[in-house]
Amino acid sequence: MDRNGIYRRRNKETYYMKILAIDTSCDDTSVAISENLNIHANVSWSKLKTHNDFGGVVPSEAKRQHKEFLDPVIAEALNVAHLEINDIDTVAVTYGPGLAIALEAGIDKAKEICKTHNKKLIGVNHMIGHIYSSLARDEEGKAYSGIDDFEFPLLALTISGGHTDLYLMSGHMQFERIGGTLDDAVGEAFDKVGRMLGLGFPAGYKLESLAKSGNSSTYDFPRPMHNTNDYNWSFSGLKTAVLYQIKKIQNEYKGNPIKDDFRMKDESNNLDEETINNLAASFQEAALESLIIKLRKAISQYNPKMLIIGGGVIANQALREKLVALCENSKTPLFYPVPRWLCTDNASMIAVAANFYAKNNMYIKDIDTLDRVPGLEIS
Amino acid sequence: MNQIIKNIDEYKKISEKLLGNRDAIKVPHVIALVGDLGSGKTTFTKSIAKAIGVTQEIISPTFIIHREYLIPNSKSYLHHLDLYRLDHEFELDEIGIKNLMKNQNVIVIEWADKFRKYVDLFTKINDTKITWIEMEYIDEGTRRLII
Repeated sequence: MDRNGIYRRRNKETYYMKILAIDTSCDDTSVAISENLNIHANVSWSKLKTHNDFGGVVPSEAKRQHKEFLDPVIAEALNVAHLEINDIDTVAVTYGPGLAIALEAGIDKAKEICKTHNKKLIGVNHMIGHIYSSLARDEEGKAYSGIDDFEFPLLALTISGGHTDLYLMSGHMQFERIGGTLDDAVGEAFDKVGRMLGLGFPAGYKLESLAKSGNSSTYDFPRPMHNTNDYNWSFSGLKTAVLYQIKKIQNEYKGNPIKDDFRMKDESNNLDEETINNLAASFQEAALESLIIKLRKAISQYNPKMLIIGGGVIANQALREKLVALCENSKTPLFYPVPRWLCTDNASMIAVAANFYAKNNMYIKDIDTLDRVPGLEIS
Repeated sequence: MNQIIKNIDEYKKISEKLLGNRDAIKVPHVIALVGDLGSGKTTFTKSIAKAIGVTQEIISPTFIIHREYLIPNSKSYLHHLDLYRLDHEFELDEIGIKNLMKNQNVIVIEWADKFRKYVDLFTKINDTKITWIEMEYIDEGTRRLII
């Protein structure tokens, strides 16, 4: 069991709202308990995933896992928080974006709890959860990212296996999308290039670790769209550029076969280890630099009070270093959720975001009307 | 038809030939795409969207498997699916793929060859038309399309 148990200590402050949050948008069955922004329990179960990749769903297995494990995961979360279901005020659940049948499992469970125990229900957009993950606090009220509240206007970037979007926020829950990917998400590009390099699929996390041993200036990959006068990205073009380079290297190899490598078992591409590392490093450099180029442009255009990053790709160490340099140069405070479990999919961020839904009175009035929206966008 | 693609305009011509005349189309139409990473599936899907008047940006469906876009001035949708993550035929039922074969929907399916027999059975639902397109990487800037 992959568990991120945060143990609660009784704390003398006044509590306003206790939320039980459920996220089943992908392959993690995740449940969190919060009081205001303080996370008292975050329990995630995934037997499907072996690495912190940016996305890997087998729909039927995800559905089966969620159905089977939601009850025990909820019970464990309440146990960790030393609470009973009666202590909970509100249930929050992710209703999109994500895999339809996986979302459904969480929504059905949330509705069942609300009906049985007479709780209020909030439907949360998973990507708003990623943006608000920076405001999550530990059980003693200390913010994981170091900020107590957002200052507006701010720029928020969401980067994951399914998303690369840039938002201008003028206030809490006020989003204007100013750019995003035109094809593949940045995490998806990591996963797909990883597969081209013979690392399996998805392989974003593995690619990052190989890139550490490679030389990022070996191959000069393009930064697609770096000159366009917008805040959009194209990672499909970069992926194709890596493919061209692999084919070129393979042609040079012809007549000079490379010895077997342990990584080639599944998808042989005849590349040696050093070449793979250099390709990984050069690709990563191009992908991350693409993000930075447009962020730099957006910061100088909008002069935000802060830059917020959310989503699984922010777990990438090289990206964090580039962002720190960018924000030091532009004197823009930078915040992102620091612990890895808070970057990847988790229910804590859903609980945190639900606080702001509640402040705007965005409860689901008729519980039966909440339906999953797999392609949900932030509007 | 076996066609060498040298630039994006040629995708446009093929898309318009396949789907351009919306009024003439009375049945759902599946475009089943076969080809590895980098063979041009995304680029081709974008040109199909343009040919049928969808102006929204077509972004990769890999992560959530299925994305849909309303075709303007109609009750039909462009459905864009990526079957790469699926392993079993029953998963196609679970994502509700059969329900998409209605109206004048255009259903673009990437990695359709993983379930070739299953996809071919769609012709039995509402006279759905299926066009298989094999896409192949030749070299930088060149792709082969077999329709």
